[in-house]
Amino acid sequence: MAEENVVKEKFYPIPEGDPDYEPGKYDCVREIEDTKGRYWTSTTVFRDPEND
Amino acid sequence: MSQRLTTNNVMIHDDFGHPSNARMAKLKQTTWYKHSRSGEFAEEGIKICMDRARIATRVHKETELEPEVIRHGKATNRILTEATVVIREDEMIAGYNASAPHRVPWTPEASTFAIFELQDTPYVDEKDQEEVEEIVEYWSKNSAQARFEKSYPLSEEATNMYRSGAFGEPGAWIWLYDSPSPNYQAILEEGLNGRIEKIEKRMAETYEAFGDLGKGYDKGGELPGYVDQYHNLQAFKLAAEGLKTWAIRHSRLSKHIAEDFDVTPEWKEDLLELARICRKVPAEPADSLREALQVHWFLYLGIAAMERDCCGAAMKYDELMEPYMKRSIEKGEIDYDGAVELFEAHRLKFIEKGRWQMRYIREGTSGSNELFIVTIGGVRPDGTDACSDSTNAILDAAFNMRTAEPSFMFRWHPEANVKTVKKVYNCVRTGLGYPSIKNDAVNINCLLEHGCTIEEARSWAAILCMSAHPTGEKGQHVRCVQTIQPPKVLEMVMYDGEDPSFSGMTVQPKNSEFDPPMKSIAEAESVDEIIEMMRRRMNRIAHIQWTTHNYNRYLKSLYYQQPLLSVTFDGCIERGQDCVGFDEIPDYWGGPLTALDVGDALAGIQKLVFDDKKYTMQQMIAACRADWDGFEEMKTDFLAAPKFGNDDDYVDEIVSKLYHMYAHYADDVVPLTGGRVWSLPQSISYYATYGPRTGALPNGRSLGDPLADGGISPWLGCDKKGPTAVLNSVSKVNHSELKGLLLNMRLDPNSFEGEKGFWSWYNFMQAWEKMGIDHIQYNCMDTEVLRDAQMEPDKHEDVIVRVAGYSARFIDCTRFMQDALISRTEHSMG
Repeated sequence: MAEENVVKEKFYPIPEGDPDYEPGKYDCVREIEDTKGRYWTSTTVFRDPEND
Repeated sequence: MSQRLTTNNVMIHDDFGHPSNARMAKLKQTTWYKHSRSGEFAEEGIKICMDRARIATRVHKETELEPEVIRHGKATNRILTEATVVIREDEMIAGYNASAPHRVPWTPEASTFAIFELQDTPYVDEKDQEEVEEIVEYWSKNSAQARFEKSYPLSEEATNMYRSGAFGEPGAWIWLYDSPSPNYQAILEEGLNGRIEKIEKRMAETYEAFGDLGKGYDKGGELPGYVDQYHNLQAFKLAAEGLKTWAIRHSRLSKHIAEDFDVTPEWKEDLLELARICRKVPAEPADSLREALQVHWFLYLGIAAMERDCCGAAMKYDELMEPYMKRSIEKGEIDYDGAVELFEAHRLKFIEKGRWQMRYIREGTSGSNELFIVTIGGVRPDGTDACSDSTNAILDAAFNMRTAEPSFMFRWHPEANVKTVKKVYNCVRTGLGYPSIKNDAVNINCLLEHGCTIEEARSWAAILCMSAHPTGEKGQHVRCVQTIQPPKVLEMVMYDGEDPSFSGMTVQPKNSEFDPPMKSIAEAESVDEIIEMMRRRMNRIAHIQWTTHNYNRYLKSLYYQQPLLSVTFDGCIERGQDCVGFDEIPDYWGGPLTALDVGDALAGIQKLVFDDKKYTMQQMIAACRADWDGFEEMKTDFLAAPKFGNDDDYVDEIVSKLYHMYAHYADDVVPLTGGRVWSLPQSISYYATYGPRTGALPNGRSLGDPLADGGISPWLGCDKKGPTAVLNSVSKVNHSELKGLLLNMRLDPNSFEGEKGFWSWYNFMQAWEKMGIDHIQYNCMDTEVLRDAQMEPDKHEDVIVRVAGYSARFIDCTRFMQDALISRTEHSMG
């Protein structure tokens, strides 16, 4: 089975010049381990910049 | 472990291949394979990814009043902008089509049946069940299949035909995937920015033409085509911008991993290079081999997985990558081995790509995840040999990695570089099952008949396993295929429209109900008459199939467009037309699946009913209906009747006539976008799955037995006079009137030793080419090794076999299929 363990999670604001830039939009980057190895994912999320 | 050395010390059949380096070996070992076995995913732990389906559904709900093509353009844009992106440790090439390496996406916009099936599987996480049901509910009323069913009145005969499951694949309106060959070259050379510039220019010209709109209305004229064109161009731009964004998101992820996570210094440096590449391409033209491979992968996934579900990976791989490999080596960025490593990394991306598809399709491609076949070799558009260092590096990468996919099609021509041909030979003799080999001249001539110029014809690549089509600007937009199962049609002839062996339904009218009526098979005086009865029944089926196909294609052009694919074709941008609605080169084909069995069956009738008069036709029919139960002696007699593949004119002439009929059974069908329906006899792996659906036949076969594989491979174990006799039999069929014709041959690996083995095989292949035979592929594996693999599958993960037009891990094939593969006659060379 594919056990998915999130090892680490970080948020990065999307740079202003990038085509998907929107105020308050971040890349949520996760390091995940499953039964075969490590991989990283990036999902876009909106969050309050004060959380940084 | 089954390892052994040949006399020249090449290790064959070892369990993990020989990747170039430890990084490639690790990547291979940690890849999640998406192969199917008996209709299920073979690897435990595969799950459905919700991202794509969720975003597509949301966008379609939000845009219900907008033009359809724009809805699709927006959906593609949002999927690529929002869906989770993934990079696995040590990867060199970025891009995956789901939110985790063990997940696969689903495409609810297409087939309602496929999504109904999904609901009851273990592949959906419990937390997603409710959402899956909501999405299925929405698309059960809005999918392309639902639109077809609402608007097209299927006749009772058509409904029965499809319900019986007796005639091959489900109707085109049910399974709804296409196999395009995008114009990769346009994006490699111009970048998406270049394409967007062209699109914007055409949008401006079209917008200017809007000035005439009011005038047109005032005069009571029709709405000018500018409106549709403008909408199409808007959708193209949305899709292209989505793909640019997707690449940039991968660039950011690479940079973040490199800078903020614990990775090796080597991979850190490489990640920063990957970040640079993904920020550059596919927006800008590619300059290096790595950039070119990255462009291919983003574009391929974008079109074939993110925009919608497609099957296949058609491209002329070596010629496409050759200038970039040359440039990278000249600049000192990589050496030859570096190119091989990049091609190895590219291979692994194919292996991990998965998708949710109908169980029927998964069963039909058992052992593989889908039909990835890329083409190499042949001649260039100017007629010179296309084999190059790029071809060689691609073949070396395949040999090293020893993965089932992607499979290769090698275009054989007499002047092909011998160094390259030796690499082809190395892959074949070590049991990879690929390259599959097609006769370049035969296929070029066939494409000239399609209306191609000589340069276009020489650019061809296999679309899936067999069908050749030009690449580049004249690449294929939409897959136009309908299949038919001749052994089942023979049953219809024998049982007067009934299908007693599988569905128990009366599927077709009785012979007497045809116009003009046909006499019954019992009154037939020759096999020619039986072939004519089959032709009329196949023609009737073809008209139903192609009418539904035409309507389906028309509806797809209105409701199921492909803006991102259209971006790659100049013709689409210039015309402001989505590619789904037209073809540059119409390429329709009908595939008789499991075609050869009928030839042997007719030879049995010729011998035992007409010539020897040992049995009457009624006795033969009664025995087949009883599945030979109580007719054992008769079964033995029919089994002993002449069989195809032994250079025996008695049966070969019957087969030749039968295939002439196959070539023309749909001649009077009129395809939607022009051209004609070509015939392409084949089996994929349906020789196994149709076995239980096909009753006893007068070749001595019983209900449930496998059928003949390939398009014209002798029935299992019936070719007893050596490989040359097989070629002689096959060459008696007129290959030039068919779209393709596949011969599978199993060879004894022990006859492939050293230089002598190579030259024996080379001369055999040159003779094959001269005979004008279209297509050949080999299985080269010890029976002992295959039996070991059945006993201890975990120790034989890399035992690859040629199943049909694709290769597969032997352990992922069903036991039924494994036994059928072992049953093929093993020929010796030399």
